[in-house]
Amino acid sequence: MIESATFHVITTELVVGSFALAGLCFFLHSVLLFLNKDRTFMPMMDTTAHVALLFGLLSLPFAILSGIEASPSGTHTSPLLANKMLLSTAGGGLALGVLYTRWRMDRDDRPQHLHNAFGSLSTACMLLTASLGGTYTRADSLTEFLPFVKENTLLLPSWLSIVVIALILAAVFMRQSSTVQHR
Amino acid sequence: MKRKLVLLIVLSLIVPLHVSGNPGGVGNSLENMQCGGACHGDANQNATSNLQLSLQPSGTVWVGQPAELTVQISGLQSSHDIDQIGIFLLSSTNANGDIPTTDGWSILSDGMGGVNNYIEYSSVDSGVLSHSWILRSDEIGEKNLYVSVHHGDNSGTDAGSPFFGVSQAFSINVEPIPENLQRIDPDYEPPRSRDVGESTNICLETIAANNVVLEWREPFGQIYQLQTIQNDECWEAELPEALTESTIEWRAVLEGEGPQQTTPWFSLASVEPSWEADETALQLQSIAHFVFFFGLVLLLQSSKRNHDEFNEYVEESI
Repeated sequence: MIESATFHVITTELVVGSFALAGLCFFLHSVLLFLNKDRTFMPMMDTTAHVALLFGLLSLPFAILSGIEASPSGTHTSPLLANKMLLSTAGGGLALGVLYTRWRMDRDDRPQHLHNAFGSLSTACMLLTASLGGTYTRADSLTEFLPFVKENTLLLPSWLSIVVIALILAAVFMRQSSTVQHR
Repeated sequence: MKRKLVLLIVLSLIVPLHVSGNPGGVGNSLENMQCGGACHGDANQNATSNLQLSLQPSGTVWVGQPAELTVQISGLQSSHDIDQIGIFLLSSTNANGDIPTTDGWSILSDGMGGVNNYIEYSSVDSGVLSHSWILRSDEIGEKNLYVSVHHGDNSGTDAGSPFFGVSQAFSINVEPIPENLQRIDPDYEPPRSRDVGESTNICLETIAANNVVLEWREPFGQIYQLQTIQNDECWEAELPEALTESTIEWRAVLEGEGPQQTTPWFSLASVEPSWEADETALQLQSIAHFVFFFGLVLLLQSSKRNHDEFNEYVEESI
């Protein structure tokens, strides 16, 4: 039987690899968009970024669940593990938002800088999460210059989290219905 | 453009990366020898350590009784320029399945508040390093144990490389215990760590003991004695609380029909209470993060799109 720690390594590598490819493509897409040339290359970057992001997002639940299972005392016993959990869900939310908005775009629409920035930000969240994993297992990572991410966690009370969820969902539904009415 | 991109990717792949081992260590843990050979990623990177390794039990090793095994590492200043060192206690050198617990041993104390076969020293001050484990064997007979080290080196021809060394086999003879000899219950597990500010109640289960005295000390410091009270199950005494993060050692002196028996020194580490968050609140916040950032992307992008459509409509109208 495969151990959850081993399974976590496999799924994490899938997530990190996919998100890193997506982030690179989002960045290059923005660069090409900024330079306003090579129109033939841009759809390739756009497609690659979103397919890689989708693959990373599909692997993400397995990485999170195996990570929780692999932690001997639970993610709530270390600020570093808590930050890993919060960063990965933030990155997952950004990725899902980016994919959803891309899916809802018209056939002729092309993602703009803001869209690419959100995609790149989700990659940054995932890479930082992976880096924290390096700190946790090896006591060394490329983000040693960010000590506050390892020692502190901004924790919300449960009721505030519920309020945030309710507010955002309400805002999203209102925006959707408002868009339909105006059209 | 395509050529430039391919060139960029190829260049980024052939740029040599700075590779070092685990400069921060991997932490005290249960590790096979394979970790010493390949925790650095590739066993081929290893250089051979010149440290001298030895292992010595402090007395007769009785079956079912705790035994102190002292590892001595010498040549630390003369052979290598070392900042920190990791030490393994192994039951074989197969590279897997060689944690002593797989060979009939129980690790009662690793001397650092845990029950690991691999421990790390974050600094090395002298040329000789001694470290003790307390093990208990459940089987009679001869057993082999090995000592292994891995470390770095700040100077010399292999500076920066991970160094690995493993000792010869040290034979430990586990003997049957005389029937009426006073002893600790073979299932007794000594406490290993506690929070700062908490005293510790020791409840020592024994066999054939008429009286038990507990002794405690700071490592290699003055010894204090505690009288125990016998209740139905065990001999009880209370070790004083620690005011700061520190380690004390305690042992039991057992009297009975046989010659006086003294247990090894058990380490008891006092640590600051660990950080702990409300698990439910953390899970809810994770969901909130997911929903918040998902919503943020949707709301910001759709508002921008509506704004653009509105501008196009205004321009067309004009």
